[in-house]
Amino acid sequence: MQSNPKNRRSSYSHLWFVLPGLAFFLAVMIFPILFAFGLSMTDWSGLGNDVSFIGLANYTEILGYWPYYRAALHNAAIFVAILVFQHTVGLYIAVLLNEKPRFMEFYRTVLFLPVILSLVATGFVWTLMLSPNIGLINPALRSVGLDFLALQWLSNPTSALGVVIAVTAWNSLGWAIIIYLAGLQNVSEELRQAAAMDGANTRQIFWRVTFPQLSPAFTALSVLTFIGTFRTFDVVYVLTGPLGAPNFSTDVLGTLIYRTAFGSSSFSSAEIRFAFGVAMALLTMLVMAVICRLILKVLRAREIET
Amino acid sequence: MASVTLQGLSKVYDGSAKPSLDHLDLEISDGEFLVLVGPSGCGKSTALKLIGGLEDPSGGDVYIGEQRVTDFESRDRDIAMVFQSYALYPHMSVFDNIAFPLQIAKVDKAEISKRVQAVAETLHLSAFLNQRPGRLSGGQRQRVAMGRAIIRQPSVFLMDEPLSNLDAKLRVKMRSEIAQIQRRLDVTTIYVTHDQVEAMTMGDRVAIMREGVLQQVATPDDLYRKPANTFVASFIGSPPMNLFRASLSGTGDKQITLGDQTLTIAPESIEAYPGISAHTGDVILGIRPEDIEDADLSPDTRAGDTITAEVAHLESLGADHMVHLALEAEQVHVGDQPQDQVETPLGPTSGGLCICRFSPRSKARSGDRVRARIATDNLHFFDPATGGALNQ
Amino acid sequence: MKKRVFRSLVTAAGLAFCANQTLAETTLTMWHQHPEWKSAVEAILDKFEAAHPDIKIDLEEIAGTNYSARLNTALAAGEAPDLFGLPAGPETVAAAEAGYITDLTGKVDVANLRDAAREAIETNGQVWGVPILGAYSVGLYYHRDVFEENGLTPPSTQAEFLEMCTTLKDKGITPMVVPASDGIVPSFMYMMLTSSVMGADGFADLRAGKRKFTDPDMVDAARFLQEIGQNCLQPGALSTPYVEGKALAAMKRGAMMPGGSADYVGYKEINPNVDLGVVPFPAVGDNAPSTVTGLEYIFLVNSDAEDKDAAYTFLNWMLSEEAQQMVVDTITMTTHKDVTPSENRILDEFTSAAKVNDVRVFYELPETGNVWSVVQQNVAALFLGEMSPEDFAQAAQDAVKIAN
Ligand SMILES: Nc1ncnc2c1ncn2[C@@H]1O[C@H](COP(=O)(O)OP(=O)(O)OP(=O)(O)O)[C@@H](O)[C@H]1O
Ligand SMILES: [Mg+2]
Repeated sequence: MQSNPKNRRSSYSHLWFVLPGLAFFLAVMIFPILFAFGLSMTDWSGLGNDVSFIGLANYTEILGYWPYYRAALHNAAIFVAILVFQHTVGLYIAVLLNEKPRFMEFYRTVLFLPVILSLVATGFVWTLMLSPNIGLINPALRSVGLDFLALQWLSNPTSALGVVIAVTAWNSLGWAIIIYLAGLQNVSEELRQAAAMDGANTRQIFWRVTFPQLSPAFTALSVLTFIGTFRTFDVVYVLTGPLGAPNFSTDVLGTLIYRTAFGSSSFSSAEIRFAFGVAMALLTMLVMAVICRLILKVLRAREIET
Repeated sequence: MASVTLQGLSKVYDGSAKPSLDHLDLEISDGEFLVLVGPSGCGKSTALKLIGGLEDPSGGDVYIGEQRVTDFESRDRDIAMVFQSYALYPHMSVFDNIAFPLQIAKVDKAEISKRVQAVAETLHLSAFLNQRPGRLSGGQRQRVAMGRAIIRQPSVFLMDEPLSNLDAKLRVKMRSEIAQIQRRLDVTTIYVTHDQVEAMTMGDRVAIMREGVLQQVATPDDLYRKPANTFVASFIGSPPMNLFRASLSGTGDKQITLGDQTLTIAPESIEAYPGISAHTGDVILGIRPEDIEDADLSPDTRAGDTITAEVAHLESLGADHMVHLALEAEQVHVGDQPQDQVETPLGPTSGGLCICRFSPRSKARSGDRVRARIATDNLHFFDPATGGALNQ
Repeated sequence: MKKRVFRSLVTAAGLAFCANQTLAETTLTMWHQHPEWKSAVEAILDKFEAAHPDIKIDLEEIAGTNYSARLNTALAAGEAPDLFGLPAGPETVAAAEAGYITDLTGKVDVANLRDAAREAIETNGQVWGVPILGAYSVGLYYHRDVFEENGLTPPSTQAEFLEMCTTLKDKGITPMVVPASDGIVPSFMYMMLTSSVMGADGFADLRAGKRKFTDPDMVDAARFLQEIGQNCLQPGALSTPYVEGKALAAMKRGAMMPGGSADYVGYKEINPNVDLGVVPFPAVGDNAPSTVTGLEYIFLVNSDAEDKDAAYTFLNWMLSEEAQQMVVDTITMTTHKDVTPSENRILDEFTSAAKVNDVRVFYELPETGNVWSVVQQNVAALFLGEMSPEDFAQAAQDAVKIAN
């Protein structure tokens, strides 16, 4: 009777131990989100006292707001491209590095460097390099006879998104490599030796034995890529400005929300709709959380238990 | 089916100064079960990896049958290996694990299924074919690893301590199962272990290694009776052979003096160790515990085959009484390093560690002074400088 | 022994602190959005601090596009500086209504402001902010040396401009540099083009709903803008960021560039040898070419500012002749009646350019506040041909809010 678990449960003293964490979580996560949600149900422009409660009107407006879908589509395109890139090129380079080549440390540093550099700084360098007027890339292409590639990369609506993707890929490759490398180093050497003894060639060893073991890395990387690409902002902002130039062909949710909440120039704030921007941000967060959950569910199911 | 020949096989890993395998010469005949034993780190796994083509040798050659395979890829050597860790593919079912070598070889599906079923039957795995290895017990995993090795019907098996992860009971069971399977399939097998019981019970021949150097290859019997050096002598046998510094004297009838007691060496021992006939002075004397008995239980003791000493310590194992006699003589311990012979001078008080296997009928108790009878026809003699047997 | 040393140290530190206190009793924090004016503004502030040793100004520059985000957030959080700039017009009114700023009526002396400027800062007789860093006109810069070498004179009409555009291109010279990535400069071009059609009176009509961007003569402005965008700009104009455009223009990588009076400082800094002239932007058809004029950010006093008197002192000093002379000589045009540039040819040229046909910038007026952003956002589509001049004009018209 004394050890009845119900008795034990009725004491809540253990809650004191989570209190600091809970308080912190409430303060920096829950409270701001609730506050933002409250704000998103108003028509506050961001400056002044003109606020009225409009319920979910902002949200229903988003549902029919074409720029939101356009931006989300661009995010999706970046996500798919980066995902493919990381799971091919990233994986391949990780496999090469895992062979412990000479100067391994050097390669690893060089490949990881973009990750730790500020995207704002590197993005700025990229705009300069890609500039058709002062950039280095076009002259370089011409000097090796690739004149047909020396284009106005960023001002062409069809290639600008490609440039954004390329810079993002360059920047995030380090993550893919590090995550895959960690995964590869967890695959026991003996397993590969066993496969070799069983008659498998290098390719068969990789695809049939090594790769399936990388599924946790695959999952982690896919989810990180999803989150990273759907909240991308700095690359686009620096490369193509607050309007996702040219003509919004690189506009992503990040720039759209920023522009809506804070405006796109210092000359006029007439177009600023802060509350609407907050509503877009919250809706995006919600949709991303749901999709994340789905991705995890699908990919986790494929993972192996050991 | 094929023999395996190793010629001067050596391996120095990058960044290590000492060879992990030093000029190993070994011939394993077709269908033979050879056990490779030695202490941890002596190069057993290295030897297997070189044979299997998982590492490139720094020198020497590997032949399978008449074929020199030194430069062959693993997959071209027709060898199957059971790894120390089993190395089962965690993402595949037991069926796929066993079938993997056949799938790689593109054997047709029906045939694979038939052969996997048959192997699973032999190994009592039929009930687990659809499970992932993560769900299996140690013994079951071990059998899956065996299954994956035997399904291909290779010409050589390599097994790297396949039983080391199992508990003692299961190990005994699996020991005989493996031995049986090997007999039935009649595949040349090189089996690595550091467990001497496995070595002695399973192998047709046993190769003992130390620090990358082969010490002796012989049948279990020969190893036990004619150890090539103090290392083999102390490695084989449990408890190990007692080794003491002693002094030889006499020319025809030879005597050996151990501390202040003297034994007369029987002719059989001289026959087995002809090297001692011309030798006087320091030697290392080896006496197996089972060659020492309570003199009270032996009616016909003669002078010169008994010693007297105090019982320092007694362990009763039921069938045997392990008696530790405090002998006043310098005891020799053999370390892992060659030339590594540590001598411990012992006084009666510090507890002499000459281990004797007395019959349970012995009345000897701790603290008693007992007379022990030594089988002087089964003494072993080693060169005190090199540790080599004086059998030449 | 040790104690004595410690005590004397404390005393010394205390004395130093007190001395400091008497020298600078008040520190006013101040934000503005022109990092490129840093040295010029600091020189003016040094003068002020020399005249008023008890007030120290702590200036922070925040680059244009980030400025409103930073400021709005800071205002909402109650962490805005004592003094900050906002565009005269709707933004200032909104800040006043929100209670963020102090009523300056009667506290600052606006008697010396030019009429247009005073009009722009007065709302219903109240003054909320003052133009201490002047005003700007936007027109067309051209490289005098380039024009001379090629025997050209600055264009004033559409036909002249387009012809010159062809001539220059044939010579391998980029006719005009326009950073179009953020749409700001093209938006100014549209203001100048439509202004050339409607003039200042027409702009008043437009705000009253009597004139429209979609009037056929006004659509021509959009059409001309499209022609310029498609034929006369440097490669990659649509993705050229503002800073790069400015650098290209300064480095003579194009013969002309639309720009404001305040931009000259920056050109000079990038290329000290630059030899520029200014004319009004070429007109649509045969109209008179036009400039547009606006106030630089006017400066407001935070209603939370601790020492408002110090702030008034500062603003009044900034409106004085002495300060405005420095503004006009080192930065941009002044709003002071009696101050003229000592030897600033560019500002003289701007002043005379603005004499022809000058219209206030659209965004300072509540009716056309939104036009600016709509034009800014649609101009890329216009340049790319994805939007017709008619649709472009329609979108601009739709953004006009006519007061009832
Ligand atoms: N990949 C390697 N690189 C460097 N040294 C190695 C490598 N593998 C083994 N060695 C060294 O070679 C020696 C022999 O190792 P090996 O694995 O063959 O020992 P073992 O006899 O199998 O030992 P155990 O019974 O513990 O498995 C050891 O000293 C070990 O440190
Ligand atoms: Mg081993």
